[in-house]
Amino acid sequence: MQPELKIRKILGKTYLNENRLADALDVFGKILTDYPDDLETLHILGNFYLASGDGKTAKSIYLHAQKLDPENKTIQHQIGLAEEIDDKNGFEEPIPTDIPAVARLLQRLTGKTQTINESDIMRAASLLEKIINSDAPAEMVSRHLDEIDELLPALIELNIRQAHADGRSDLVESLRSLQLNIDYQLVVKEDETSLKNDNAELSGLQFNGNILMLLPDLEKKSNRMTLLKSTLESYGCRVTEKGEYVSGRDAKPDVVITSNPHTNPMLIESLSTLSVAGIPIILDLDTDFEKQPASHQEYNTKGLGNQTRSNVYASAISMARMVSVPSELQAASLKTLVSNVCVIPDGWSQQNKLWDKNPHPHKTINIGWVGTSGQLEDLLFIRRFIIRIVREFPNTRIVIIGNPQAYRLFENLPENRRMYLPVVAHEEFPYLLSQIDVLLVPLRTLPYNISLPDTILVEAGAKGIPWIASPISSFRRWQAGGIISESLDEWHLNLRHLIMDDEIRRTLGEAGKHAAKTREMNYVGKLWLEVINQVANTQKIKASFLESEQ
Amino acid sequence: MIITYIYSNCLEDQIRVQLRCRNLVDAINRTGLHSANLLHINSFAQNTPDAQRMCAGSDILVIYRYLYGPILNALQYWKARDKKVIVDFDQAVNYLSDDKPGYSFWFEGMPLEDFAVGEEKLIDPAPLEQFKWGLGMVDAATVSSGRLVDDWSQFTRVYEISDYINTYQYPALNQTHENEIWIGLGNIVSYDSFKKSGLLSAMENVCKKHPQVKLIMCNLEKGSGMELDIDPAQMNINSPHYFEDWVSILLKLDIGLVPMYGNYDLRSSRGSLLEFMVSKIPLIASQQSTFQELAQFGQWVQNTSCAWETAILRTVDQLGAYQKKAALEPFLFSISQDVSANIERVLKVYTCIINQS
Repeated sequence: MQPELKIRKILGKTYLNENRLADALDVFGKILTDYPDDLETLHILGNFYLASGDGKTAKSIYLHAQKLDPENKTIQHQIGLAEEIDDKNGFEEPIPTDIPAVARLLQRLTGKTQTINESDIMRAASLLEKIINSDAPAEMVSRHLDEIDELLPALIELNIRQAHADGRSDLVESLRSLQLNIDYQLVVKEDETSLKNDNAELSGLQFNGNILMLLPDLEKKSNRMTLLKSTLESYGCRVTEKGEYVSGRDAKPDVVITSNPHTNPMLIESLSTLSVAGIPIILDLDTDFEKQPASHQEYNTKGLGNQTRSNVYASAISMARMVSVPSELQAASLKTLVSNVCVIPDGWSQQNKLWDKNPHPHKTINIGWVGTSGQLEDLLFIRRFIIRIVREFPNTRIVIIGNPQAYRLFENLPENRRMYLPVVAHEEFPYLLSQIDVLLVPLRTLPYNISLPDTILVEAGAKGIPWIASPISSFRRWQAGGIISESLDEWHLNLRHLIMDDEIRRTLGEAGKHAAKTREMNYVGKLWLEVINQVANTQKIKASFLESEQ
Repeated sequence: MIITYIYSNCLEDQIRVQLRCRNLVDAINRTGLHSANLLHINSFAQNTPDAQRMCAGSDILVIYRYLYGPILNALQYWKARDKKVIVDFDQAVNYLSDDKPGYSFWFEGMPLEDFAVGEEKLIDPAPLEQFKWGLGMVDAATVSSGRLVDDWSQFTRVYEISDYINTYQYPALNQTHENEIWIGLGNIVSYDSFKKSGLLSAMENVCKKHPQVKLIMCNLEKGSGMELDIDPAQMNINSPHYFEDWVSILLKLDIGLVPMYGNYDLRSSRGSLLEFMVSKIPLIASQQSTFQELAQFGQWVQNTSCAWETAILRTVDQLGAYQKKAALEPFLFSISQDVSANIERVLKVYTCIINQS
C-alpha cells in the first residue's frame, strides 16, 4: 500500500475512533475519489451507509467491493445485511462520495440536523422575496433574525438550487461544503456539551477526608504527583505532602498515596506505621521497575538491582490497598503478584497555559526526539532514516531534547540542521515540544519498552504534534494523532510522507489534540478520586465490620 | 524599550563587561526614552525574585557571553514566556588556544573562578558545546566583529554591535615618566600572539637599544612557559581586572601596541584600538583586514620582528610628532565612537530583533 494512502486511512480511522464522523467521512470519501478500488475504504464507506439505514447505497458499494474480491466472505455477509434493510422509500446515492451524498449520510448518522423539507424551502423563498422587495431591507432582516436563523439550512438549499439552475457548479460545490460544515459544527457543539456534562458529573464525585501524599523526594517530585496534587486540590480535597510520617506528631490521614517509595527506602518506616494504623495506602508506580533494564539511565537510582530498594518495593506492594500504574501492560504483569491493581493514565493540565500557547513559527520542519521517551539505543535504530530524511529535505532539522549523547549521533549533519534542547522543569515541557513538528518515538522490542505508558503521545497530542512511533501496546491503543511504524522500513516512508505533506501533519496534530482532551487532568483526576473513594470506603466497611464483631 | 543585561562577575570578564554591558546600560538610561538594567547571571540562572521581576518587565534579555547549564534552563524559561532573549559575545571561543584565558573553561569544562552557576566540579558537556546549543535557542546573537557574524550565522541570526567607548572614562592626563618611554599592549594579550606576531623579539631588541623604554603588559596569559629576554627593570606586568585599574595604566602609556596573530585575534573587537585613540596614544598594530576601517588612525605593520622593530623605533625616535598626530584625527574619530552618540544604532538592532518573526 502506498504510504500516502496508509496515512490517510490512519487519519480517517483516528477520526472514527474519536467519533468525529464528519471528518472521518470527509477523509474516506476523498480516499475513494482518489482510489476508487480500495477495498478497505469501500468496506468502511459501505458500513457507514449501512449504519445510516441506506441499504441500497451500501449494497451498491459492497457489490463493487465484491467484484474486486469475490471470495471475501465478510463482504458477502454485509451484502446480506444491506438487503435486509427495508428501505422502500429510499433511493440509491448515484455517487456515494460526492458532497451532497456525504452530507445526507452524515445527517442520517448523527441526526444533528433537521431534514430540510419543502415547506421550509418555500418559507425561505417567501422571506427572501419579502426582503428583496422591501423598502427597508436592513430593517426587514433585523426584524426576522430569528426566523432567518431557523431557516438557514433551507436558505442555503435554496441558493444551491438557484446555483444549479444557473449552471454554477462551482457555487453548488461551495454551498454544499458550507452545508456540511454547518452539520459538522453542530456535531462539535454536541461533543462540547457532552464534555461539559462530564465536568458537571465530576462535581458530584468528592472526597472529604484527608489525603497524605508520602513522596520519596519533595524537592524532585514526579510530574505525575505534581499534577495529581494540584488536581485534587482543585476538587477541594485536603492534600498534604510529606517526606515522612511520624505517628503522634503528624495528623492521621484518611488515605495515603505514595509514589515509587523504594527510591527512598527511609519511607518504608512511615508506610509501616500507617499500615499498622489501618490507613489505606495507594501505591503508585510510575514505571515498570521490574522490567527496567540495567542499562536504563535511572536504573542506578531507581531500579530494583539494589537489594534494599528491592526489599522496600516488595514490602510496599504488600502493604498497599491498591497499586496504581499508568499502563495496562504494567498492570497486567503486576496482577500476577497482587490483586488490587488499577490503571490510571498520565495526564496533562490545562492549568499550565503553555499547553495552549501557539508555537513560535520556525522556518524548518523540526523532527524531534525526546530523551525521556526512550533510550539512546532506541533512537540508534532509526538514526540512519532520520539522517537520510534531513539530507533529502533541506527544510528539515533534527531536534534532540534532553540527551546530549543522542545529539552527538547527528554530529555529521551541518550545525544549522540540528538543534539540542536541554531538559527543563516539567512546567516548560510544552515549550520544548512546541519546537517540534514531527515527534519520533522509536522503541526496541524489550519487555520494559513494551510496558511503557502512552504519556509521550498524549503530551504530543496536547500540543498538537503528529508523531510516528513503534508498535507497542499502549501506543496502539492510543493511536490518535500519529502513525505506528510496523517495520523498520516504514519509519522512513512514514517520516518522508509527513515531511512532504503539511496537511496530514496538521490534521493528525488536530486529531491528537482532540483526543488528548480526554487526558486533561480534570478527567484523569476523576479516576484518582474514584480509586481514593474506593479504598477509603473499603476501609470504612472493614472498620464497621470489626466493630460489629466486637 | 526595556533591556536587561545579564552579566557575569567573573574577575577576568570585568573590563569587557564594562564595554559590552555597563556602558550600554548607562547610555540607554541617559536617553530618557528607554531603560536598561543589569542582572547578575547567577540570579538569572537561579530565577531569584529579583530576576523574575526584572526579566518579566523587560522587552529583551541580553545574556553576556555564557550559555550553559542552568543559564540554558533560565533562557528556555523566559523563551517559553515569549520573552526575546539574545546572547552577546565578543570572543571567538571556538578558536581559543590553550594559552588563552578561558580555554580550560570553554573546552575542558573547568569552572571559572568566582563564577559558577551550577554545582558541578567539571562542566559536562564542555561549555563550548552547550554554547552552540544555546545559540539554537536564542532569538539572535550580537557580536563585536564582522568575522564573528560570519562564523556564527549558521547557528542563529547574528548582528554586529561594535565596541563603543564611554569617552568620559578616559580623562586626558599628561603623564610623564621622567626619561622613560612606556610602551604597552592592550588590556589582555596572549603570549602566543605576542611571540608569533614577531613583537616579542622586536621588543627585546628595542629594549636593548633603548634602555629608557619600559614594556607594560597587562593580564598576559603565559601559556606553556614564557621566555622574555628583557631586563626585568624594563618590564612591568600588571593584572588589572577592573576597568578603572586598567584605565589608570592605559593613561600612562606613551605608545600602544596591538599584535594580532591567528584566527582568534582576527575576530577580536576594536575596543583596544579605540581606547588608545581616545587616550591620544600613538598606536602600532598588526596589519590585518579586521580593522580596515581604522587604517588611517595608526601604524599597521606586517607580523615580522623587523617590521615591528622598525615601526617602534621610528615612533620612539619621533614620539612627540606621533603624539601630536594621535591627538588629531585618531582622537576625533574615537570621540565619534562614544557609546551615547551611537546608542541609537544599538537600539535599532534590538528593535529589529524584537520585531523579527
